Amino acid sequence: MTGAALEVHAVVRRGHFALDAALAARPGETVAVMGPSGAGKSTLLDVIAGLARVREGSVRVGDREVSARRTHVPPQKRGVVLLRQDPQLFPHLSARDNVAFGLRARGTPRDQAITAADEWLWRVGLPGAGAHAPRELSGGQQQRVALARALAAGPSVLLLDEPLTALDPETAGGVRAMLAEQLPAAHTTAVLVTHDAVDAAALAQSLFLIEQGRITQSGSVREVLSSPATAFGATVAGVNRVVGRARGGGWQAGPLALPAPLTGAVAALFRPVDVVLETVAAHTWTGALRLAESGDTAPGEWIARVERLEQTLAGVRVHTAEPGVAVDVPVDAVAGLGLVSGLPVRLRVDAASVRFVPA
Amino acid sequence: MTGSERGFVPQILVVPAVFGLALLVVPLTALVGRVQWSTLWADVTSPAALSALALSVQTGVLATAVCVVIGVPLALLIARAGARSAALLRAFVTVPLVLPPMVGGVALLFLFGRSGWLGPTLAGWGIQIPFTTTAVVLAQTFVALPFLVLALEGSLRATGVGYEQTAAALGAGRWRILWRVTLPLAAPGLVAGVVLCFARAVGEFGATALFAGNAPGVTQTMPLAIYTAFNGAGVTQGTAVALSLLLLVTAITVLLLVRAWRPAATGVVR
Repeated sequence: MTGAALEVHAVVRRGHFALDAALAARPGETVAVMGPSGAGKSTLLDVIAGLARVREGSVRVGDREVSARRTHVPPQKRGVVLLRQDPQLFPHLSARDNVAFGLRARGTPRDQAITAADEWLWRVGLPGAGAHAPRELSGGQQQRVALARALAAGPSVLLLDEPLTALDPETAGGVRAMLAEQLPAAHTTAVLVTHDAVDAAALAQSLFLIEQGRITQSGSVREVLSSPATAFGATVAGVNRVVGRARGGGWQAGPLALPAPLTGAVAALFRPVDVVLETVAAHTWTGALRLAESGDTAPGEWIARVERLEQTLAGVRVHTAEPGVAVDVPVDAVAGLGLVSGLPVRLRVDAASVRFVPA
Repeated sequence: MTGSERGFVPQILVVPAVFGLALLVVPLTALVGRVQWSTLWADVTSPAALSALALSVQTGVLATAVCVVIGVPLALLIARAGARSAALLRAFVTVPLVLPPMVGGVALLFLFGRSGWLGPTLAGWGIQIPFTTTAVVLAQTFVALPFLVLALEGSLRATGVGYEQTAAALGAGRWRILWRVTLPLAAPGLVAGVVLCFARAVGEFGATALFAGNAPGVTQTMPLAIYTAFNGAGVTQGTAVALSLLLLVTAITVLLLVRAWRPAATGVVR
């Protein structure tokens, strides 16, 4: 890709773990990276920041190669700033001096750096907090100062490693809104690692999914979240993804059959809220199986076993097995149905709520 | 306070504990009891005492300065070394700490003495070290350096390199990181180290006695003056007691200084 502000192809080996991932960002673009724990997200950021070396591949910031097999520009000369979950404010400096640190390091005279720092603090929503020591600020305020410090340094690339994870939901919402405002305003190219699809949707233009050291899907945030290509992607997007085979206008995955327009390996995508859950007459699993084998199920209907229940903001998410499908149920219904792990249930999904994509 | 907050240590252990405390405190009380307050000022300001006092302060300050100049880089080296090499380096630094100072004095004499490794070479350049004020400073540095290095190294290691990485990412060079981040964050350890280092240098006797000798005005520091006084030459016993009291007060002041720095230490390093 030409004209990219950041171009990465990182190949790193650490013991049994191998990372081989490529991503690119246009100038001023925010790119989100999501992946399960241990997928290599932090290693990828370390490579871009210059804290880890690549075995193969390269990192280009603008038109400058900063990492390659035989090239390693030290972190302080890359113009790449990493903002972590822990704000890492210098505890011996005031909020203002923290923000001014990067400017001073670049040789900006002290009074100019201080003026700029106060302006940045105002922009991140902390006017007048300059004289406070970091320990006098709340977690959210500290993260705001850390962002001001990072942006004030005028980085070519800003790396954000789960910047909202350590904050409570309300504070995180405030900081997220501030990021959504300041990242485009600063025209900074940014890479955001997050485990929350809301962050990706609110802050990023494109989304890369990384699993076991490899990029498994990339595209615009909307594209990836609406057509997840892997089970992890489906979890992130909050949809059910069931892979089955389609032929002759029908699609089947285990006990679940639906009419489908495609042929071959096809994944069905549907939301947990579109699945209807009922109890079955038989209360034992063998009884339920007999019921299922008797063919007493309509298209889009199947018998499944409750694996576990998970509390959500909207109610309860019921996870069922074979195929793995999540169902959203209001919390009062859980009590009415007497749902517990191991209970056989009848599930039904309307064909109109299901979207089929090639698997 | 309830019993459970105090733990479950056998109560009878209070007896040896009190004996231990008495052993540490009572002799010092006896020393203070021997002070002749009427002549204290005269004793402290006697020419022999003043010259010992001045020499002690000068050499102590000089030795502490030398310790800072070479000890801070050494502490940085150990704190940022790998676990295994750090353990080895730390062992080298600790040896002078546990070694009887006399042995240190002998070792210095074998290095810089007339028949030592470096002595003849230095003598060829017209430099003689043993039995000079330089020797006093050298001996004090030898015994005091470990205090500064170990205190600072612990502080540096506890802070870690996270803040240094952050500073580097913000574009700061190595020197700026050292002056603006690493050393300020390790300040509690540095202050404690400097204070302990100075206290040890001022109290140094064994290595100085062997390597520098006991020449009034040249190498006779306060501890040597006290020793000489009790052997009945040069200074009076009254002076010796007064000087001892002065060293005791110095020690307590130093202790209070270090204690006063502790809260700041916990406040700064989260």
